[in-house]
Parts: sequence; structure tokens; C-alpha cells
Amino acid sequence: MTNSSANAALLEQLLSSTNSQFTEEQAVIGLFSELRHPLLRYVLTFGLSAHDAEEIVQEGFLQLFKHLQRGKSRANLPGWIFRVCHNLALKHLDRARRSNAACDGAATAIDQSLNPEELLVEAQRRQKLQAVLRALPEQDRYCVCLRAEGLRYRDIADILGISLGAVSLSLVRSFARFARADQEC
Amino acid sequence: MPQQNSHLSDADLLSFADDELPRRRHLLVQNHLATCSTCQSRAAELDRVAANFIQSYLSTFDRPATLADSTAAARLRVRLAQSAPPPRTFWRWAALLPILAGALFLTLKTSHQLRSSFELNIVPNPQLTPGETSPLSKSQVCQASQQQQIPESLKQAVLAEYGVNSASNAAYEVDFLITPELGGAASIRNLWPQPYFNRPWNAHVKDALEDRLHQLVCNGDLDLSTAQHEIATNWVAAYKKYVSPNTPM
Repeated sequence: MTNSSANAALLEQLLSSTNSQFTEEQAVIGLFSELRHPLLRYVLTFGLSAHDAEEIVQEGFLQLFKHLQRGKSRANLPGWIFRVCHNLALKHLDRARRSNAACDGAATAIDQSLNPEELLVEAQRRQKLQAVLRALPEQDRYCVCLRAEGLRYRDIADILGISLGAVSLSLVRSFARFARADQEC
Repeated sequence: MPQQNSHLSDADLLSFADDELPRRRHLLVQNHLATCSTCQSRAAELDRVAANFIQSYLSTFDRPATLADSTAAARLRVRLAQSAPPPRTFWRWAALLPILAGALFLTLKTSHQLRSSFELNIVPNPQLTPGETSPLSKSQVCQASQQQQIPESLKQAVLAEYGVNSASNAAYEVDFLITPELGGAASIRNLWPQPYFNRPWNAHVKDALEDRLHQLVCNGDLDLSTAQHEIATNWVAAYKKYVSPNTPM
């Protein structure tokens, strides 16, 4: 997550003010503006629609607001919000599977401003990545996507409930598979 | 731990590149890499694969969001306001709040009439909010933070003055016309309910203008009284003049 240390410093400043109601809202909105797009990207890797991804991220920040209002820990809030959105996305996916609802996935969204050749290259690149991600075990997929969002290994380990060593080995496996797919093209 | 004649594992190389190794192991890997060309090549290859993955990941999933940033933030603000705990005397109405909140959201989303009223508040009514300043000099404005909290009672008075009912007030920020950073006073004559939802001219855009004017005044490029006059007269025109002639996204 780029600028996460700057975010943390901003939050420290905002949360240390005496008017807690004001600062909690400001902290949540500040963090939302920094992390909305990384969270949307990550949630989209679950194969959810853009609309559902937006709802999940909004719900995640509502939960963050309530978390702060209840006076819970304010340590590492970026990691906290990724964990909450990860769990919300899993629940949503589970509900969708049970009701056989279709997820539009990420395959439909390609920048229509590209010319036909660029569109083809872009589509191939996306298909290759999605094929690799689909072939990975779920845990490896989450791990490598969280790493792509810049999360530290300890945050990834917290979110997925695994050890630091498991994070490291999972990333090695995923990159090896990605490298093989690269060579096959 | 790497032995003298063995090579580093991919896990070590990747963790080293990500600065995730404990300090002692980091130093060991660093020393090994300094003298082992095989591991240097492998580390470079892993870096390349990881960088390619991130590039593919971003280009695949970084698609335009369904809502503009300002709209998404405004929507979250409304939901935060709705989820704040109600005063104790209103607990018995608590069960109705989600219904009222949903109705409010739908109303905000669909009501052309209400949207029109947002647009009316892009700039304040000059009769009600002509702008008022504190007797501060340029050096006072520039040396210390002039941020001011607006008392809740004053906010309510401003909302009432503009006829914003309590069900809609979460969609507004009671804002200073002349910001305290430019010597604006916390007076009802300098406050108005500015809509979060209005695009493109909303509270976030005005914040950018306020920052720019403060910078110009403090750099000596603009007279304080001129900045106060221009933002009070028509802040949209001032934005086009001092920030960008283009309409913000």
C-alpha cells in the first residue's frame, strides 16, 4: 500500500484530537480516500461485480467507523480494513454461490479507448493473469494479490490466518507459476 | 541460513527484496548476494517476475470505479452520519432509523427537486451569507493555524436559515464562505450549507481553492483583502481564476 506510513501519521494526528466524534469521521474519510481504489482492486479479484465491490468497500469503512466509535484498537488500520473487506467479500461470494447468482468478474472491463491491436494485447494479458490466478489455490491467490497491493507479510499473515513463512512460500509458488505462464506465451 | 557453498532459496531472495527478513538474516543474505553471481541473477529474475505480475494485476483490476471519488466519499459520509449513535432520548425511535436512512438515500439519489436545491446552494445566498472576516493581519493569517470549530448550535441556525430540514442535513457541510485560513469569521453571516453531492462544484473543490488562495496570500502574490473579496463574491469564478479555468472533474 503506497503511502501507508503517511496515512498512519495522518490518522495518528486526526485521532489524537479532543473531539473524538469529529476525528473518527475525518479519519475514516481520510483513509477511504487513500485506500478505496486499492481495496476495490483487491475485492474485484474475488470475481465480484464493480457494484458489489463498491458496496463491500463502503460496508468495510462503516465497520471501521463503528470499530473506532467503540474505542477499539487503532493500530494498523489499513491492515484492519483490508482484513474486513476480505472477509466481507468471502461472505458475499458464498451467498452468491448458494443462490447461483452470476458474478461478472473482471473479464468484462477493458478500456474501450484502446485501438484494436492494443485491445487484443490487453485482453491477452488479462486472460493470462486471470488464468494463472484461477489456477492458484485460493490462499496463494489472496496472498499474491495482497502483496501486489503493497501489504506487509505480517498483515497478509493476519488477514489469511497463516504464518509469515507460509506467506513467503505462497508468494514463491505464485510467482513461479506466473513465470511459467509467461514463458509459455 | 545460507552455507558458503550453497545458494539462497527463492523465499529468502523474495523476502530480502521485500525487506521482510529479520535483521540478522537480512545481513547474511546481503553478504551472500554481494559475492554470488548465481544468486544475483536469480534475484534479478524474481524481481522481474514480481514487477510483471504487479503490472498485469494493476492493468487488469484497476478499472474505473462505478462512482466518482467525491460521490463515493459523500455517500460514505451520509452513511456514517446515519450510523452515529442517536441521542439517548431518541432511543425508542432507533428502530426506525434504518428505514428513514434508506428513504433519505433513495430521495437523495432520485429526487430531481432536491438535486435542484443542492445546485442552488453552490454559492451562498448573498443576503444571508455576504461573508464576514475577523480583524486578522496577513502575518497572523499565515503564521498560525486559524482552524475553527463551528458550534453545533450555530450549524443548526445556518441550516434553519437556509430551510434545510433535519432529514437532509447529513448531505451538507456547513462551511465558511471566507475560510478562517483567510481570516473568515465563525459568524452566521459567513456560513452556509454547502452540498457534498453537487458536481462539480462542491465542498471538496472549494477546499482546493482555499488552499490555493492561502498559498498566494502567504507568498505575497495576492492581497489578503482581495482574496477575501473574491472568495466571498463568487467562489466558483475565483476557482476558475486562481486554480484552473477548467471545470473540475
